Amino acid sequence: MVDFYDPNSAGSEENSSTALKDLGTPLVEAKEQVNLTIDGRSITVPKGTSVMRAAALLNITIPKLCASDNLESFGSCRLCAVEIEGRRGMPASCTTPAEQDMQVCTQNTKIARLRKNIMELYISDHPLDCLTCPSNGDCELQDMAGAVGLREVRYGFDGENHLDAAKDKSNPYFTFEPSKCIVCSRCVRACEEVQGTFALTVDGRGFDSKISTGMDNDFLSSDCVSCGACVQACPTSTLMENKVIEQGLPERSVTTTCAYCGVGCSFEAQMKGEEVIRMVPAKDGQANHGHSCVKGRFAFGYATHQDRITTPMIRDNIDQPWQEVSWEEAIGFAAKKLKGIQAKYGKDSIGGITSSRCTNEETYLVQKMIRAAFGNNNTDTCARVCHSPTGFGLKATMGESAGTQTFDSVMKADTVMVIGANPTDAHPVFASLLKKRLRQGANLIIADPREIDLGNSPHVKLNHHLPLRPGTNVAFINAMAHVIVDEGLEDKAFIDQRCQLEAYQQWRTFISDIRHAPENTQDITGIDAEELRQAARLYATVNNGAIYYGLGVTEHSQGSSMVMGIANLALLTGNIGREGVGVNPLRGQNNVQGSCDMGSFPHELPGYQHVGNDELRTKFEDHWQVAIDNEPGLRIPNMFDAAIDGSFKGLYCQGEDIAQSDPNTHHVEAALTSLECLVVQDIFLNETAKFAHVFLPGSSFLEKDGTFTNAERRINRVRKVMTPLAGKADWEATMALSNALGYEMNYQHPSEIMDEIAQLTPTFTGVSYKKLEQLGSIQWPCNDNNPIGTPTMHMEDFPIGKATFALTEYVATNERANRKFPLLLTTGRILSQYNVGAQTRRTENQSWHDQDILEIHPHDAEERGIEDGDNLGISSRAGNTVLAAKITERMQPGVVYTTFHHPESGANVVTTDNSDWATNCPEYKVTAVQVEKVSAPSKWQQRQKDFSSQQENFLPRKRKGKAQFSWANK
Amino acid sequence: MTTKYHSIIKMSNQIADNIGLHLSKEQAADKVVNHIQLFWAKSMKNNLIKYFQEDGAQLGSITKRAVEKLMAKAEQ
Repeated sequence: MVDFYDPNSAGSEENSSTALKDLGTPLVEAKEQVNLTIDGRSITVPKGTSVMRAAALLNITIPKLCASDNLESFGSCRLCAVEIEGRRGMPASCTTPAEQDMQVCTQNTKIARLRKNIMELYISDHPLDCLTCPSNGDCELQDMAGAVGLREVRYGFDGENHLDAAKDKSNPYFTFEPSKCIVCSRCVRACEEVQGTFALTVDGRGFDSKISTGMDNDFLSSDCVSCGACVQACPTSTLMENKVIEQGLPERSVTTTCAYCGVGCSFEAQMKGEEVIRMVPAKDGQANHGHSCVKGRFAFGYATHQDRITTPMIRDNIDQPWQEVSWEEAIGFAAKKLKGIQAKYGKDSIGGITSSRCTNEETYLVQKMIRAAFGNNNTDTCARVCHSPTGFGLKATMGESAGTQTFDSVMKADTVMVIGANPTDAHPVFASLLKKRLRQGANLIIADPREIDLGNSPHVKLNHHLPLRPGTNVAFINAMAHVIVDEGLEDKAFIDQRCQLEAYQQWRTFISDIRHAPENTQDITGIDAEELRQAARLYATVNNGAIYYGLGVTEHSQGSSMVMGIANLALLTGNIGREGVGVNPLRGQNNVQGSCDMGSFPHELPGYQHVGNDELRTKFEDHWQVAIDNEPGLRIPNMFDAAIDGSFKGLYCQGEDIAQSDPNTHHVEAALTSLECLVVQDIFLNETAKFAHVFLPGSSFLEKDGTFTNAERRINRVRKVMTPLAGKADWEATMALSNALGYEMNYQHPSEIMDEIAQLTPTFTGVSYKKLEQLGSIQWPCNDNNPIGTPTMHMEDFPIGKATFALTEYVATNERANRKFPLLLTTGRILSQYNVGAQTRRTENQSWHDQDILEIHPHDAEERGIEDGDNLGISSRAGNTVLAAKITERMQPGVVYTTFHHPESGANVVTTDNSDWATNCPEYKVTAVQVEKVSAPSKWQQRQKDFSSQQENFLPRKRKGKAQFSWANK
Repeated sequence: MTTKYHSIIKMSNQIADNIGLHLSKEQAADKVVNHIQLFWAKSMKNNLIKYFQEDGAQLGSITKRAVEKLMAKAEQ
């Protein structure tokens, strides 16, 4: 990919014109500066910067093929040769560091002849079908041939060549066409340096060199994770997106933010008209710096999948077919029903769930509608089932419900401890950055019942894998803290200056007790005492220790305690308040952080302001012109209980599939069937919608303006690239419902909603769309104290002044393996599918993972006579289901694992109602199960299949001519 | 009756088990009350009180004390 030559901006010295340009080699940071002259013009650059990059900063474009500024220089194509005063020959400018007083000449007759000769050699073994090549107009080889003035190839074309090389079309998203390859090895280096997977190599030498995915395999069967970094790096058409091959080059580009995970990659949505041709990671994306994963880059097709429902539908009960109606009628129907329920059962008998996929503005409106129009605080969001303990635990210890760093901070870490997270699968772009740091030599500790891919990454040394038994987290973290205190490794100065001393002393007495020693917790956690001691020392004795954690920490009955335990550890060792350290919750969804920030919780208004705090609440009441209930409302699991109890009868559920993602499916289904009015606003008929009475068609991230907030607290713009298929963006639908319920909302544009948020939320006062345009993205808090945002938190003090230590006694979960259920089931995610799979199952990502499987250790399998591929019945006290088996040693004996991406798997039929004591976050990670060979699907699976089939048949017959664009019918 | 209150009993006992560590029964009960007031919906609080009044057998001692305090506050 390349920048187009734009005569209008050529010759301009402005920095902004170089901002997105490929500067050839990476940025070098150094204190010392050097000044050099290139083609008579002077520039000062950090020492270590290449001559090529220095020239590019002067807007002098030296021809290049193998160089790219996201990769270390390689020096293989030799096209970038220059002449340097006082030096022999013509060195490559990409591998030559700039030096003080250097005089460089980038263009003269001698250099020109060399460059022509080089191009001539390249073109002698290259197809000459430019006009019909997918790269036509976007090819660096074309550009270089033009730049060097190539006019003939004196070798002729009759010699040996690679023009017959076979295409590899195994990957569903891109094609590998080796006949076009110039072996610049940018793809190989991108896979190594940017992605860290090392799936590619150059096979053979000299003329026989070719890019290879390994012996006897192709892209799909290799280690390739389809991140597309190679496709992006490729200067020719060798690696090319299939959509560009089919449809041609895009004509315009809009910058937006990915709607998959909490990394929140910035993308250029490259369009033809209103169709997205390809998503190219934005180079200036502060979270991703030009990289992405298979989902964000390639799996956007779901937005225009034929399953998209684009017309509102209603029905009186769920045994009836759906009736397509107008927006007005659907909204009116919903409003009338909801009001009717309140009249009959009371104000608190309805509630809503905000979406962690929708924008900040949309979430804000949903919780506002619930508080103002419903008149209660029965609002909650999916963070309930993932990171609500993070909110509780970090607020309690440090005063703010969010992670403390940027992603880039990992590059300064000396020891990284990953607890209960699987970043290569769930936060791939961050994991690539982490792997880069680990390859540089940082230490790695992984605490996880399974072996995760991060520990097996190429050139990454895993110092300690602590394979703890599910449910024993707090015992583990207490042991770590005990070792640090016991061996005198704490950061006394930090504790004195920044922590509440009385609380610390109390905690210190608690943690010093011998019961927390690793020797005494060994039997509980299964972690070898000496190994744990070494790990603790490795974290405590380096300059910068950083902890990254995920749902393996929070989705437990002591999730909140574990978060506090992690915070305790970071405070104990002074690993807070600068780069390279911190407590980093890996927030899952694209806007789950945002949804929490926007007041989706039943007890907190936007900005985590408690509803019971009169001063804070009246601020909202005054602005919204309505009274707000001063007591907390129902959380999602409480809503289910109340529904079954008969006191909760109506639910507005936006962009959340509780029927698939929440635990204890029998319980959820019972709750949903007892509702008198379930309104689902979503883009597909998901599992929850099958129980609904009103279906309001939602809009994908491509169809609206707004903002998402990622795991770094980074607020990023989402920009509309196509008209909403259903005619309304989600925020417009919520507004309509609120108006129909009698609470007026009249926003013309999401920026107005953000302005209102800024007025009411102290951590957001400086945020506006104008500022977002200027800065690109903003990490909150952004206010008078922090006018351009806050990359690193708690640098000088904590929101509560000094941080506190929490006493976290280990309390074993009720969910214990016993004779009837001797194994423990834990759950997780995989790279190619995303959460409930509603989006990714409707893309070609199905090629990688089209069913959930149960991973089991060979020992447990042997005991039960299980072989790979066998159908296994998994049963718990909550229910049972059937999955195919995979025997693997990355599990430990006694622990089995599955994913939850496919509704028919019924993974949540098996999970229980156990939850975190403080937040009711479900204990997905510990379920006592028995596993045995079976021959038929479970009863639930059979029922689900029949029910799904019935509900899908209830959808109106349509499709022919209904969709707006013909390509949407693919 | 136990099925209806099953959730409430479990949740309230669990809070007491986790939040009241290393404290006297009174202090622990205060902390439980505080937590419930910060995070529980009205209907849940009412249900807990109702259960305590009707039976309360499955509540731990700290939990029971906490409910008494909740009832006292409710009357204020």
